[in-house]
Amino acid sequence: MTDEQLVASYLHTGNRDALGQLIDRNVGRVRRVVYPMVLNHADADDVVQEVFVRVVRGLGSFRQEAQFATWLRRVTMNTVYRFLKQRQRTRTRLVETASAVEPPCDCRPEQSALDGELDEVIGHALEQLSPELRGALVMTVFDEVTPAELATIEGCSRATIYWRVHRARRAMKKLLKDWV
Amino acid sequence: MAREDNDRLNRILREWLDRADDGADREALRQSITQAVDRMTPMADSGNETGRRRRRTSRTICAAVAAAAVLLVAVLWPFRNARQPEPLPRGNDPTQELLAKLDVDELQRRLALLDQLDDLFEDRWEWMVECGDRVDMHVSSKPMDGVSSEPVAVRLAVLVRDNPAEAFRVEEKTFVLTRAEQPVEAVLEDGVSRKLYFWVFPIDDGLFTYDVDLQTTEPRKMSIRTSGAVASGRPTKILSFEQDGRQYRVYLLLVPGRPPSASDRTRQA
Repeated sequence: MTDEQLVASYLHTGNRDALGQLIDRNVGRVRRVVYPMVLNHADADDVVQEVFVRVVRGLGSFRQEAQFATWLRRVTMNTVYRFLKQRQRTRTRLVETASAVEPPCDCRPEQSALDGELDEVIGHALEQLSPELRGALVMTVFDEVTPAELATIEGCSRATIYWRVHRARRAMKKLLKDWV
Repeated sequence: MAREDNDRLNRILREWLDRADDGADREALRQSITQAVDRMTPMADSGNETGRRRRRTSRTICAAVAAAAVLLVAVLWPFRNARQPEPLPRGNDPTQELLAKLDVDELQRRLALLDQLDDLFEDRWEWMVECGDRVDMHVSSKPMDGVSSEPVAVRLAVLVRDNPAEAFRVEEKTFVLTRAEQPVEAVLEDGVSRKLYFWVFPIDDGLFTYDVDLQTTEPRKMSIRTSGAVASGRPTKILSFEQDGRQYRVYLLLVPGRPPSASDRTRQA
């Protein structure tokens, strides 16, 4: 079944399994967009949960001729931007990079050390980007969204998206000059 | 070159996210989402009824929003062109005379320079900027990936007039020969200090998105920063502004493509 069919099944028959399947199918993809935006595992989990709460609450207004994936991305990015604004206001900046995560195995300690250093640099580099530039980079690189679809999601022109992606890449290349 | 850099950046970013994802407890996250959703919709049937009620409410809200949007569009429609790039009018605008050199033929002739530049620098040249009697050019230390980067010739013109009764006159004219996606960062000193940042990227339907940052200090301090999209081959007004009582207009003309270079001909042979 497609995502759209699962939505229809839940809305028309109240099928909870369809809803569960919809969440299972999309939770990983949403988290892969949210984590690089908020750069903290605990915050990422909270935001992903908030995304799905909003999705379920808003399913009634979802136009079924539209693509569920596009709608989900829009809800995700709106939730992320709102979260980042709130976090900035409360000034609780908790930057956690992947280096804090236990490496899966210690069979290549030199490589792990190099990866740890690079992970820290990437986390800090992403944090330097404004939410809009980071969003453009994250959506195009990690979720492979086309500029046209991203323009629809963000409600701006394609030229603006190309410009944001270019700016973000330029900044990242500068900040990661020893690796790129 | 830019494409290779982009690929490398994409790869290290994706590897970084894969490593970060390893530490995420996906199952715990699934459970917490399911619990949160269950709290919202405790029973399937009532959830369904709530959904129907919510759909009716949202249809009413949508209708109201749509009516408001139609009203807003009707009010704002006359101003729709206020912020869009404006192609140069084809009538008897005296401005056009001053912009006579902003023509496609001239830029196409300039594109022919590519042959000589590629021969001279063995495909290492990145961009060339000409302004007044000064030229700045950048050459990389190793050959560019010329096949993937489309060459583009650009004319940027700044027009000025001191009061609305006067015709516009050309204040600045800059010629840029570059490649798509190649950032141009030029500094020109010929009594007037100019710094130009320029970047262009082809999008669909003959459109190009651009990013311009031009700073001058003498004789007038001027700062032009704008970005947007233009159609190739048409002089387009990309910015209007007033500064110190003067009115400024900034026009951009862009022509893509190149004649086959000497190295292309050799390869073909």
